Amino acid sequence: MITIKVPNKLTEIQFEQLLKDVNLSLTAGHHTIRFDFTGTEFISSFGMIEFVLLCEYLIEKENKRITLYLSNTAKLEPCMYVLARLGMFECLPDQVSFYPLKPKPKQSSRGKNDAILEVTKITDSEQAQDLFDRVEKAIKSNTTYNQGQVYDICTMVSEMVQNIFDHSESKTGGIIAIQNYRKIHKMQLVIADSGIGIPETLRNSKEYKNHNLSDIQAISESLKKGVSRHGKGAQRGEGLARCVELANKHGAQLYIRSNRGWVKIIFSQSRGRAGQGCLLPGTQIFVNFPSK
Amino acid sequence: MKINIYDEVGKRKRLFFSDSGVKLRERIVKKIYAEKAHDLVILNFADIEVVDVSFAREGFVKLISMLSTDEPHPQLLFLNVNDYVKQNLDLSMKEHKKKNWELIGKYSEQIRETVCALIKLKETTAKRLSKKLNIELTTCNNRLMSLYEMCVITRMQTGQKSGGIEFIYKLVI
Repeated sequence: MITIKVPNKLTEIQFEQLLKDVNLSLTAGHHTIRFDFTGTEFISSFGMIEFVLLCEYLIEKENKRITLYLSNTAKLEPCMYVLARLGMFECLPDQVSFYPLKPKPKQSSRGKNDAILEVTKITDSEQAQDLFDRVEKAIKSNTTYNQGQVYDICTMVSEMVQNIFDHSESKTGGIIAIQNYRKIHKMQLVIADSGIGIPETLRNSKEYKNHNLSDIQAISESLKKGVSRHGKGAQRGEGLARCVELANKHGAQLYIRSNRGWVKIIFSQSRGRAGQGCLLPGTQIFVNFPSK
Repeated sequence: MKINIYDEVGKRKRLFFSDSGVKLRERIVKKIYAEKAHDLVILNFADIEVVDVSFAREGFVKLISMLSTDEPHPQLLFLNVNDYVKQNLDLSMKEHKKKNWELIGKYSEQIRETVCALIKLKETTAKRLSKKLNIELTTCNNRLMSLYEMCVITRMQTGQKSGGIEFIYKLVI
């Protein structure tokens, strides 16, 4: 067994390091991975969803046993109950074990806070349709956006969720969450899946199979209008391009991670970054909107 | 013939996802065929708040493509389209300028000029329209054919005194 310390703060930045540590443990051939959360105080919505997908990947594809070590004593830290209320533990695979115990939120609290959308699995588009009321409430609670801007964000959500069912080939659907961070005036929307990822989707298409696109290049390409696995003449590939337009319109920050690559665009500062990390199959996207 | 989109989608105000768009398109096509609507079909968007790009593509762009191959086929008029719905419809069909009516999709300035003339005339033959626009009859016929294929206008076959076939083209706004 190997123990991997989860950082004090887990956002997209620290998650890359966590993935590296996990990758090293895979190389070393450990059968059980214990994630030590004893020093962890903050996990962003994106961090939570990435962690859930990482556990799914380790159990299903790498045949690992996963234990979450949550406290040195028999009592859980308050932070763990916050994560429980935000739905993180409920979305973890059943095979994950906990020490000292699995934190459980009060059942009555789920879905009752209009300002958030807890980490929620999306299994089909019918169920996703029903989520839009909650998406809308969360946006209205956290921002000063007018109805038109709310529709813009709902459009982004629908396009990203649509991509999960159309392109990801994920057997388990996707995950969505919305959380507001008052101190930094940001509302984070996360939509993710553990499918084949954007790079594989494009590489499998006729148009791109000979292009030798890197993961970063494939992600960047997918943000352009008309780019899809169906080819440029197919009148497809508008969804993600529309999300980029709308993120730009609202001065948001867009982060897309797919397989090994990631691309981050900060529209309010007209700048972007990209990088390469370890493999986590699928596509995980967050959009940070300025909040009140 | 008037189709209320809100009723057809189970009284949903927000239209998301391509599979829902496919279902709506199938319902619309079924109704058009059942009623043999070859004249004007009004798609009424009253109460519809937002339509995403995927829904617009499957529900409406492909509807036009499908109908355009039928002979004869109706004119489609999108009514009560609010700004948020229009945003994504425009994107799906390649948007254009504002007025109390709009052409959306990909078209040339000549096509726009022809539509303007057709609105004034309400119905016309190619010969009459070519005179009005001061263009060759063949050019005029080509433009009318394009508009007909895009479901912007309808046409009705009539006989000429000489024995030939003539079409009367109609555009209702």
